Amino acid sequence: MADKYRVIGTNQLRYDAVEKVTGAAIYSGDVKPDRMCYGKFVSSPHAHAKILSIDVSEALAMPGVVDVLTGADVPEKRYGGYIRDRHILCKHVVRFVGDYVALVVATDEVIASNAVAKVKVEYEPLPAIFDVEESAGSNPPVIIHPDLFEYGGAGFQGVTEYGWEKDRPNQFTSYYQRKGDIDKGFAEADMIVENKYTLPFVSHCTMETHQCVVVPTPDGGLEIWGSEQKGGIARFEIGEDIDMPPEKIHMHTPYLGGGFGGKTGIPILDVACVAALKIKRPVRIVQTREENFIQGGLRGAAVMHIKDGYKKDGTLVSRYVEMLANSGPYAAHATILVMCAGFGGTGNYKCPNQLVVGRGIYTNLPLNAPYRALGSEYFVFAIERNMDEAARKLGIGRDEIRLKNVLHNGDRDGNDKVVFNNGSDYCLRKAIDGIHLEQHRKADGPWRYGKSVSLGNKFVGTEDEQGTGALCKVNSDGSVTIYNAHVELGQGAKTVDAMAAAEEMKLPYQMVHIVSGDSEICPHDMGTFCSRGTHANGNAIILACRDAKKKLYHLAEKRLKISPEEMDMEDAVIFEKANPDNKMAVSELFSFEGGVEEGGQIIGGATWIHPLAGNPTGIERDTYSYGSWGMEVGVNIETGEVKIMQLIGCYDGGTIVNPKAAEAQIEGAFSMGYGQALFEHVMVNDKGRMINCSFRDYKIPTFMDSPSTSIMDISFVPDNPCEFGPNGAKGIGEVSTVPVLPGIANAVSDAIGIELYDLPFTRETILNAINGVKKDFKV
Amino acid sequence: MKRIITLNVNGVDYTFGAEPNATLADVLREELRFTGVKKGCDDGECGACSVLLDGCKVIPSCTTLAVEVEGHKILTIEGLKKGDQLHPLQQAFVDCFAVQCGFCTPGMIMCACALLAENDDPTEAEIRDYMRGNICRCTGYGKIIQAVQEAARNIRTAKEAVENG
Repeated sequence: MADKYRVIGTNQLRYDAVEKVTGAAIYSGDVKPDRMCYGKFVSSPHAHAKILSIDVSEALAMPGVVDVLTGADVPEKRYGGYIRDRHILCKHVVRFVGDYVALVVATDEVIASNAVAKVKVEYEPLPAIFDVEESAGSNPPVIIHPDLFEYGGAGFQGVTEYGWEKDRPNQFTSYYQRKGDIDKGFAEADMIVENKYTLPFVSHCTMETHQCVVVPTPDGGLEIWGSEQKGGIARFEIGEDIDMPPEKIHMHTPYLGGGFGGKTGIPILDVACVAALKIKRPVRIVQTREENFIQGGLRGAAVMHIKDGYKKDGTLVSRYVEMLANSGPYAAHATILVMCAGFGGTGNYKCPNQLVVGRGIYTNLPLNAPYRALGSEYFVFAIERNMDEAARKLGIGRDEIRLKNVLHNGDRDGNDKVVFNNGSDYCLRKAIDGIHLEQHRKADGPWRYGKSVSLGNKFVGTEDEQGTGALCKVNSDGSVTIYNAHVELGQGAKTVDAMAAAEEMKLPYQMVHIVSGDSEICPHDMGTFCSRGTHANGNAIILACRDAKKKLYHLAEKRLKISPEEMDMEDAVIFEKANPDNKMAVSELFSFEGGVEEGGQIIGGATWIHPLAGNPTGIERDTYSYGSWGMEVGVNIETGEVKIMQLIGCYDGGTIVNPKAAEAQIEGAFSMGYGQALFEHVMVNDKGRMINCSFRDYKIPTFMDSPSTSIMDISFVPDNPCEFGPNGAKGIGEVSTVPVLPGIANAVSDAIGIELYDLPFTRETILNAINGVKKDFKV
Repeated sequence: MKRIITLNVNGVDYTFGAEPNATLADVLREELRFTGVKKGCDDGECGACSVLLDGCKVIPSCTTLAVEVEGHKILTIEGLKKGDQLHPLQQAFVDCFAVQCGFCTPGMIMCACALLAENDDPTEAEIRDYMRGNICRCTGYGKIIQAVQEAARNIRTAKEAVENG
């Protein structure tokens, strides 16, 4: 790779690191315009209730309180991205503990908090439903949205058109992916393994909670700073929700303190906009950690039913897998999640007869939000767990069963797409060769040891028709500035973008500047989610750089007296390919005042649209990233403690733009998956209220938990460019967590010799299993 | 009722009115605009708001009242650089890819600063134990540990160079 590229594949230091280590980096909640007010929510104490009345008089009378907004202040129409099933503030009904009822706006944050308690809301409690299986049926005791089938929907990618089933009143969407005939497949099978797996609600726990500052502008528009991953489309959605032309909304997405999907469409933005317009002053909303847990959106829980049919030799001949996504009271992104999750169910193994079903189900539990991998982890967890059980029952190796069924380039997957750029086999073999499943460590006191191999995938969501734009401005010293909408969540957006530009312009990395996240000066991109950032933005940057070079060569024609086709450039010098001595510095094109001598500016611009853009369910091929882990764990059968002994990870992210940064993503994702596998879960009481809404009670991995990187061996599939990627890159941010959950789960089950089905595998779960106590995780 | 207090932050005295119940984090961020001090939990559980008191003691500024620390020297992430020169910990965090979203980073560095003041050659286990109150969601901690060890090494080397003339 070193020969082919100057910058791609090298460990350039993070573009934003110096800003971040000096405290200079600006996040949304750091912005403080003059006369700014603070917004605090009055939220529902009930999981389901009618709002009978709201009395704001006492709160309004408090010194410092500027206004109290209620459902009466927000548009009559519903909003919600995909299915429009909610109001900006609840108008008549609340549907989860934490639902947004009113917003107090005051000159001081403490006053606003105190005034929240003075808003008197009278409710009539309604029966609530929490169990997703009960809610998914044809006759649920509670119907959460009686008017669901009248609601408007965006019809995005056909989701709503075929997603509703009138005999399932709490199902807001469904997704079916059919291949072959599963009944015929099961009849041909020698053995069937059927199980039910569950995943709990988990919180993203971004260190920065959701935050925004909204400033009304003199032209009646709005200027917004928001911790929002929807870089480009946010203002269009806000504009539609509050009836304002999007061009009047100036959206900034500065640094985000983590995203992990959870900041895709944050619910606080619309409310802050309505409030700022009403009081004609800037409004800041910054969630507390508790509010972030309760109201910020969670990765939904899910129940997975899986039935696999195998031949004696381990060939998978039929698979039925169904997900009930417990999505809380509003559809939000779970609408698209059930389909995207389905891709996860097809991405790794071949199966001639397969039916994947995803159902998005309403309950009165907390709000859902996309979470790193957008559902891929649900299906992959169930499939990988079930494969281990199948291998044991068939008496074949857990590595063998995977190698026998893994998809290769040219195969057709369960979605009948042609598989390409698929590094699954390589990743899997690397994990298998490193971990040696057949060699078992002997029991040592209370410690039992187990191993696993697991495979995962995540599709790269860049096949939209909106296109991703970028500009490349050439500066008077020959450096370039890239303008784009790629949101820096911490994943390294600016770094990979600067590297793409440096590569294309043959400039040192340090001579690229990035300006991003400002809707007034940066071209459009949908947003930074679904593993699309590096892929889509990198492609757009390359095209913009080529356009800039075209303009540079045109300007250089007179000086070099050759045609543009004969030119090349490197290190800000344009030269004749056949005669490199015929050259000029880019800076020579500029006057001493910084203008181009010929007049004007040199700005390249372009939009990249995926060559296969369109409805992803209708195209021939889907781009996926892949990854595999070989793991060894120890389980203490007296305490239930799990310790990680050895980790061999291998990933296919296409060309790896920056190996150190990619490794950092995978290490972090491992930690996140480790938390999900072993202890993270939202706990809700019988009234639907989340009870572990602090870092004290909702544990995420700390310094004391995360395994040492000294036992972690991470590698990538070498020389593996993706056909559609910028310099061959795919995405790595999401797939990195997917095989971690089943990897740990399978190794734990292997260590104790008991199949476990319900995440997380807490010490309590493990001990209960060892002691023969069955514990039923409801949520 | 606001009280007039004077705080010494990053070597400069600031005199201003503060509510007796105002936290140090809020005063640093909102009043004095040291926004490098981050708030991740408001409850002393995440460490993002960590600052140094009197040069060596690391405290959570979100559970400390501003009036409590009058007369003490407060060091925030903004005060760590010497002129244009990054502190060895800052440089090591950059060099070791120990920064991702950056929200926990200021608190991490301030805590590590206190650690290195006590122990100039900490083991991985000592770093984990000392910094256990600082949470990071992005990195999995490995690269932060490497950065702290790298900084410790660089500080020791620089000190030896001075001692050896």
